[in-house]
Amino acid sequence: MPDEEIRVGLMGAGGNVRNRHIPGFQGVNDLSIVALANRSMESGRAIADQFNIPQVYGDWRELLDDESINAVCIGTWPYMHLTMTRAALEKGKHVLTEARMASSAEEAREMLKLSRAHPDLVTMLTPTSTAYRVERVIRGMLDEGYLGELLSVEVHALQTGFADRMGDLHWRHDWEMSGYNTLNIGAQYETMASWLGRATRVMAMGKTHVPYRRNGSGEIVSVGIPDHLDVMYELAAGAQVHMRFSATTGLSTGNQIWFYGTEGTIHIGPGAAIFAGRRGDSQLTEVPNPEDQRVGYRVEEEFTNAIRGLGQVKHNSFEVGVHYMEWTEAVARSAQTGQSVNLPL
Amino acid sequence: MANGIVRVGLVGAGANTRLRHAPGLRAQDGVEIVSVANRSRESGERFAGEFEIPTVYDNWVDLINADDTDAICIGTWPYMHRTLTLAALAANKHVLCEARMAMNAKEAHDMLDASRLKPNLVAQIVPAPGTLDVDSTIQGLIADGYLGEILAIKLRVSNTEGRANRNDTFADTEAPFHWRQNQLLSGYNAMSMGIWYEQLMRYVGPASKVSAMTKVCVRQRLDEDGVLRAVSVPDHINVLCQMACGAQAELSWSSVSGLQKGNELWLLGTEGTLNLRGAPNVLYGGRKGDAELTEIPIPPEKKGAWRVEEEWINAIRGEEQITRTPFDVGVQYMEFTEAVARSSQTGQAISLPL
Repeated sequence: MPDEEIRVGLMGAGGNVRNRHIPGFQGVNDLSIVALANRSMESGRAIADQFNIPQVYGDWRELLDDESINAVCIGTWPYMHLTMTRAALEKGKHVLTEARMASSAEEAREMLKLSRAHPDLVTMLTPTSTAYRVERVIRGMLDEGYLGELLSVEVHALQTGFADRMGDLHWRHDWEMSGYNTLNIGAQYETMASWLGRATRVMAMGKTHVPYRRNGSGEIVSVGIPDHLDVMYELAAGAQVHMRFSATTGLSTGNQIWFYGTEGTIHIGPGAAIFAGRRGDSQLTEVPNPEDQRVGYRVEEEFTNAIRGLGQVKHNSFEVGVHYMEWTEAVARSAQTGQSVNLPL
Repeated sequence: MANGIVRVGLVGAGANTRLRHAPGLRAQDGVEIVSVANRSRESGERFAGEFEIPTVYDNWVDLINADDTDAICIGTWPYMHRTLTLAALAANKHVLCEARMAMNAKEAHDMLDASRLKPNLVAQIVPAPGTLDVDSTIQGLIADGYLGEILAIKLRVSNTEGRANRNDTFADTEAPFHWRQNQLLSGYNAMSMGIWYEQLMRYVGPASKVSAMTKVCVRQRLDEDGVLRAVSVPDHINVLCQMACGAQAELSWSSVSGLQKGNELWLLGTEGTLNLRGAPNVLYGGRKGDAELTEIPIPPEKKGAWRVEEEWINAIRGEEQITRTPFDVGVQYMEFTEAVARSSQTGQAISLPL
């Protein structure tokens, strides 16, 4: 539809939709955000007023019945992504789905199958923004062979507060809403896989250090999703990766990544500062990462360009989503069984 | 013991015997090093000359069975530890055995059993020495509740053993095939895995479940005869543990992590965090409410030091019990070492004890 106006409906309007997608869509030419359906009519109206969106629906199915809409943005929690994607594609609408893709690998594969059954429609997943600040420098160093042969990788995604015993229940703690998604493991793997390729074998161990939390109604509920997780995996290319994710590591060193190769080491420290050194160097030194050369956010632009036939969806296709959902499920299965899980599932 | 003199025979006279045990034994009152047996008579004689040892044996069998010997210090590579320990105990000799204790868990169990059959004899393993200066301070902080409930542990060790140049931390493809890389001599022991696990156990106790992935990055090395040998002992190890104390541990050893130097241990609890960096060891800590970690000074009176030979001789005289390190602790770290190997072989978590 190169010449047609893109008319977007929003299904779910959480933080990322308000902060990212709405401003992003509003920056695209010949595009209107025409309708919105949120969890309640009331919350939908408030957001519609804030962003001048003309129509609010009480039910996402009514939004999909609106024939003036030709593209939807699904911003709900993962548990609804498959159902909404299926319904939207069946109604002939392009789909941009918020990350994580789905609750499980099976749901992700089903979404991929549906997208392939509708080759005339664009399907896209919101990519993680965790690596935007370092993407260009790291990509460049990897491509120029800075590391030699990659041998191992160490990733820390550590929060620096102590365990908040009896803290509030967030939807990310709720299996019904989030499925196998745990902490930010899918986002980290998505970034790592884009740089290094996919995993072939996974072993994991997890703990729920805060086993009870208080939900919105003030009730104490048990938590099934780990808040501390260690993952080891082998890359198809041979290197060995360890990742530690935690919400309970008080006064730890926070988020950091190390790549170790036969000839060089690259370290991404807190604040996305990049350090590197080669064989023969006595220490790591900082690598310039100028602000103006960093990758920018262009999710809605990429989505709408693809709809207009001006480009392909790269970040991210549904195939990428299936990869990280399979890895995410492999992590959960290994943590449950104590056995390594081979990929692809 | 004749006239209260403890007469010691040395089997294997490698670096640690030269640097530690021989001088350490000579520093004790009423101790005589009466004999030595090394790999060759020639190397044994050189050693005997250096330390004024009267008798050099061609083989260990004669040394262990000599009537004028009360105690045996075993300084060979791990492949001989079980055989020598069992023979020494059978000959009614006290034993100080170099670490790592054995090739695998089965051998360690055999040694523990043999030592229990001779309750009149002292059996000691050379302890992991890297944290002796800070052990008692860390133990005290944990006992006083500094950490609260221990939730998570991290250990990262940059391994330099077997390197020609210990300042180079990248994969060393030039160094010759080292006995530590030879599974026939070292068994399941790899890098400083057993050493650090022994040290970690002093603070938090043993693991109850182990998952591991290991990798041999430098797969072939030249031996001393110029033969290219395949290496099966890993030079990069990642281990995940459920600890009996409830914490989840993540432990790694690597000889191939360029520009990553030293060691770091993190103990993370509900109320506080301890971080040991070395070597030399510096301890940092912080508690809930603190903005950052600060250095925790080690009081001089709590600073432990190497006293292996003194402890052994005192125990032989009935003056103290072996705490660094008894055979049952050696069994625990050998079980861990074997669990790491088995898990990396099978891809399954291994429960401990074996």
